[in-house]
Amino acid sequence: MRPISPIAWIPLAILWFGVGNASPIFLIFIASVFPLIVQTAAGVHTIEKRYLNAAENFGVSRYKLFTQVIIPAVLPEMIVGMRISLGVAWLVVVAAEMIALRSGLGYLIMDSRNAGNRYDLVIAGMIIIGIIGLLLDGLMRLLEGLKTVRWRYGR
Amino acid sequence: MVDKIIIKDIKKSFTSGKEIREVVGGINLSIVEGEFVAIVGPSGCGKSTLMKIIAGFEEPDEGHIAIDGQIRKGPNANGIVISQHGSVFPWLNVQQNLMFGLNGNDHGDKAELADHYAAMVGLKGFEKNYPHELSGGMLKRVEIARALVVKPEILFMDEPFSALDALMNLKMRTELLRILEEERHTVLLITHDVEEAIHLANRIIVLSPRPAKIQKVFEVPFSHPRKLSTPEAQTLKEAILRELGI
Repeated sequence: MRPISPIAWIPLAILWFGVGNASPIFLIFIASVFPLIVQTAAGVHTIEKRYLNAAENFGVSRYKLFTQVIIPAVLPEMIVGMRISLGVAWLVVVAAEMIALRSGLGYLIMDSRNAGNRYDLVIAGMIIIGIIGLLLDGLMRLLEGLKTVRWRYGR
Repeated sequence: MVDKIIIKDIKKSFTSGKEIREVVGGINLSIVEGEFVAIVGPSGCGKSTLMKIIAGFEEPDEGHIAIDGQIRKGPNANGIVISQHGSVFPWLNVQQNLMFGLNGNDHGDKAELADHYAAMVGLKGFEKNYPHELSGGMLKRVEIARALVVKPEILFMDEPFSALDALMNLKMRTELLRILEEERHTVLLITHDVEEAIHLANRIIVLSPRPAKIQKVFEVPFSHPRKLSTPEAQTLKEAILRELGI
């Protein structure tokens, strides 16, 4: 499923969920779930054995192993995954609005072009999409500044 | 004197492809409570494998380890490993790292206990710092303190200071001796640094090249604080180096 472009799902999404909010939500889910899964899995595989050994040495419970070792060890990769996901999701939102919806920035762009070549509105729509995209990425970058994940990005 | 650790006929081989490599070739050793034993040997002789077996992270093919008369099955908090690369969790601050090993509620105020040990290893004022804000020597102190907090009876040290520079290495040895004055632990040290072994240990075991067997045992009769420049210490060092073929 992963190599299929999320945008290619648009016709099926409309068929299954109609032209409402449900189909873009479905498309965003399809687009953003895979980067998260891939990054998290990669993160779990790269946990260094010495940390797991130390946890085993201290004889901590499975709950503590999970909350104080595995999750914090994987969190930096998960945040990277979330950044990628959010970027892809934003692309998909705009694409879905162009085709499946009757509102939103994507719709504004398509509608402005179709209703008399208003390219000033098209450019304005593009700029707003870009700014929102930047803001979303900026929010995720704030997460990377958290003290508990800085060790991974520092070097 | 009670035997704390009994190492009985330990053998271990690894198979890589069709080749069987015998790494540990039958080791017998008893360590009494409160003793500081150093194991030296040529690199790749199986010292680290032996340490992993004694600490419970590897199963021996033959023989067994008994601690306080109980056969060892897997690692536990009774004996904490301090290794070359360290395993201080980078996502926890110093205090959280020190509290990591405290399970259950029978420790009283965990934060207070953690701070006590932080002060003991000279990290007062750094309790809220994260490992990436500390130097290599300070990380080693965190690691030692984290081990001491759980009040283990045994410390397993696998080349603990070899990643530090020479000056810090010397400083940490002195610190370790000071800490051991306060809390008497049984220590098993793996090292390739003969001077370090003479500085710290009561007994030095020299291992043969692979498969590792005990080649010779040296007693270190000097009292602390030790001076490595004395003729006796130099003679001992030369004798050990000769055993190692240097």
